[in-house]
Amino acid sequence: MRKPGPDWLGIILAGLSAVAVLAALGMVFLYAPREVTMGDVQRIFYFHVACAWVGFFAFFVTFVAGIGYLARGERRWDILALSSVEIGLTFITMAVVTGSLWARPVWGAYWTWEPRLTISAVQLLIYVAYGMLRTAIESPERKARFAAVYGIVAFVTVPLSWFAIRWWRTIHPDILTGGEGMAMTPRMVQTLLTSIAAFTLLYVTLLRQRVRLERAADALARLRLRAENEKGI
Amino acid sequence: MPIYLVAAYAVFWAFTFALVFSIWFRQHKLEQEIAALEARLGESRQNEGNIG
Repeated sequence: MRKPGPDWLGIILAGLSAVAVLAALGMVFLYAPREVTMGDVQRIFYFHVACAWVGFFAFFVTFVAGIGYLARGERRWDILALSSVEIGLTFITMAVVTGSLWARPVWGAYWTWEPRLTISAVQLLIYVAYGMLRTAIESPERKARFAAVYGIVAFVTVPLSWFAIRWWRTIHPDILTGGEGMAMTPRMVQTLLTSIAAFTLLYVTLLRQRVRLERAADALARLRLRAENEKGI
Repeated sequence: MPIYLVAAYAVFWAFTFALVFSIWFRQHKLEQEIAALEARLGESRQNEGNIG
């Protein structure tokens, strides 16, 4: 087999993601104004929200890929779902940790069992269990089918988390309606939108690489099978 | 600068680098395994050809 050349699209995407994230970081510290009530610690908010957005979006991709797999039965949908869960879990964990670090000086505690935080914790465990489910099943077809159904059902935690701050009494700020605790100036909104765009680009870059990794694993499995069939190497 | 702000951004960079490194490391390992297996398959075919 011919050795593949450099992955130019991957290199370009990685470069663009790095520039976008650094630009967002620059805006967070140099462009966005200091929030009056919370002070500088409010600057955590921009990356915290962007991390949560990527987590939710990644789980949405898993939901769509799950439907795709059940409809078509093609391995590529399963690869997409699995890859997106891994990235989504990383970003949701980042959102939870950065949120806790923001909560400590603002609420006086790293964690409170209020609706949004409780649902986030449950969501994290549900998607960790997605990975455990996959490792527990031997047959690739059964694994993919079960994971697809699980990924579709698990997605219910995303709208639940999104609407938690509107449906129940909570101290978590609502950035869309302004809500309690934080008024957004135009510069803050621009910084937040830039962060979200940069993180979405980073997600696309990571997802593409993660999908390539899974395809390489499949190629290796096929090669091993061929080697066993040919000679028992 | 508040310590919580520094900690939050440190967490972001640590997780991002860990994810990127983990993907890169696994990809690198798989590519090495694929190359080794292909080389062994090639050798085996060559030996078969010489015998035949």
